[in-house]
Amino acid sequence: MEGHGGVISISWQILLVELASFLILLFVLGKFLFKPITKLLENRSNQIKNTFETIEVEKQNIEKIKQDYQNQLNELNKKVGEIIQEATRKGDIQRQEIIAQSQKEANKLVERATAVIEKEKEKAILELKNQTAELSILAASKILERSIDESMAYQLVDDFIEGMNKETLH
Amino acid sequence: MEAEAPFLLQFLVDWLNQILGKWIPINATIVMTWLVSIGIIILAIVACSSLKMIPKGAQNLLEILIEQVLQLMEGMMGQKKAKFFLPLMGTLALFILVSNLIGLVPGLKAPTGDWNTTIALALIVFILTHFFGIKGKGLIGYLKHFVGPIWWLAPLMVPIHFIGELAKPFSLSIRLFANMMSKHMALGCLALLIIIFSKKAILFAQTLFIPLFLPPVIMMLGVLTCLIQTFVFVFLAIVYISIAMEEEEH
Amino acid sequence: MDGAVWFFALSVLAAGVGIGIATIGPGIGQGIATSKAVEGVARQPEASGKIMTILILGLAFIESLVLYALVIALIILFGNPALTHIVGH
Repeated sequence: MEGHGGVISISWQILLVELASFLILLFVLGKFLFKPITKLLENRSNQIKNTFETIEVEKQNIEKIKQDYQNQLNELNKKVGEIIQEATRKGDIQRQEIIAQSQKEANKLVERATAVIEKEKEKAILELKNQTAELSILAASKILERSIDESMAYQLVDDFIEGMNKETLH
Repeated sequence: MEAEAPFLLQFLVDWLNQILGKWIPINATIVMTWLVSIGIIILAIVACSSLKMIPKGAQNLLEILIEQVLQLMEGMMGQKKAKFFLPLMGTLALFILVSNLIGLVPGLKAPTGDWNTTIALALIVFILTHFFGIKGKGLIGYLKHFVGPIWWLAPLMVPIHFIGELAKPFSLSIRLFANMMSKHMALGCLALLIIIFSKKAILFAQTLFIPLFLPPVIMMLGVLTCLIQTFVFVFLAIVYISIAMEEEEH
Repeated sequence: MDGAVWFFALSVLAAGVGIGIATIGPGIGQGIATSKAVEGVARQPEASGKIMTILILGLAFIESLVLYALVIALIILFGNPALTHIVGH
């Protein structure tokens, strides 16, 4: 058969052998190559699909968690704000109270001081009055050179000062 | 052109002829076909012995080819049929590609450079086309396709369709075979020129330039031709089968 | 010259001239197809993959015409079935 007819030749025996060898190759490859590889490709595409689905789910989960955190954070912020406001309010009230207290105390002190001053003033006036009376009695006695009854003199001076008081002091 | 098998190949042919010659005709083409088949099977077994999710090496190579063929088929005939025909088309693609490329190795012969091989391949496609055509449409529906849309034109249309159907495997086989063989012959003629020119030793520098520096260029073109012819053969096989199977279209 | 030599000479002539003539038409055809494909890609670069596939397929079909002529030339040169009939041995 070999080299029969040159380049272009058809010989049915060779053709049959070629056909048979190709069919055997097809069978063997179908068994050893295409079955496992098709399975592998299918598995891989399934796996990729699964992975993507998982990623999608995870993404949604993460989104949800993030949302939750955001909500919590917002709530917390609100709460903190409230607490601060409350504290400020309380502090304000306290401050007001303290101020009022100290005002009151101050007022009391001032009052007491005024009372003391008043008392001192009265005392001083009394003293002054007495001294004035004595002095005037002394002066009068000196001038008159006669001693008046002391009690009468006091009565005189008192009357005088009383009259003066009515005009000038009040 | 008689004994075109180179020495090593001829030795292999003679040896196999002694063993199997009684039962099967042994030829350089047949020996090369067997070599290619064994190579592909070894590659397949090596690749499939350790299949991994992340491909590497031989597995990657085979996967690229198979994925490409599968993609081509899915565009033509849908996912389900593509899965069914994948082994056939994948084997065709692998066998033709390796056969074409092995023809570029000096000292070896491309199995697809022999008309018998390509006729065998085209015959398989031809038989499967009509088998699945009849299976898909039923015998009457399939024959109706030959008659054409107008019944009284049947005497004209039937021979035209008949010849058209016969021309398909013919052109399919001739295209592959002639491409491979013409490249082989061009390289052979250049090699012959080297021998002739160097024997006569005239204008050594100028005349040897052509046969020594043209073969690489032809080989580069040859690689391209090998890939394209593989693609064309497989693509046409897919087109023929999918056209035969699909419902009334033209 | 005797008949056999004439036969051989004319066979070689027929093969060479036949291939030469056969390449004219498909050459023009492939040129037209490629130019149209280039135009198409220039107009729509995103469709280049599809155009490429169709172009290669079309070129293969056109090319097969030359290959028919090549086969016939080879038959004339090497495997003429009438050869033994005419030459005698």
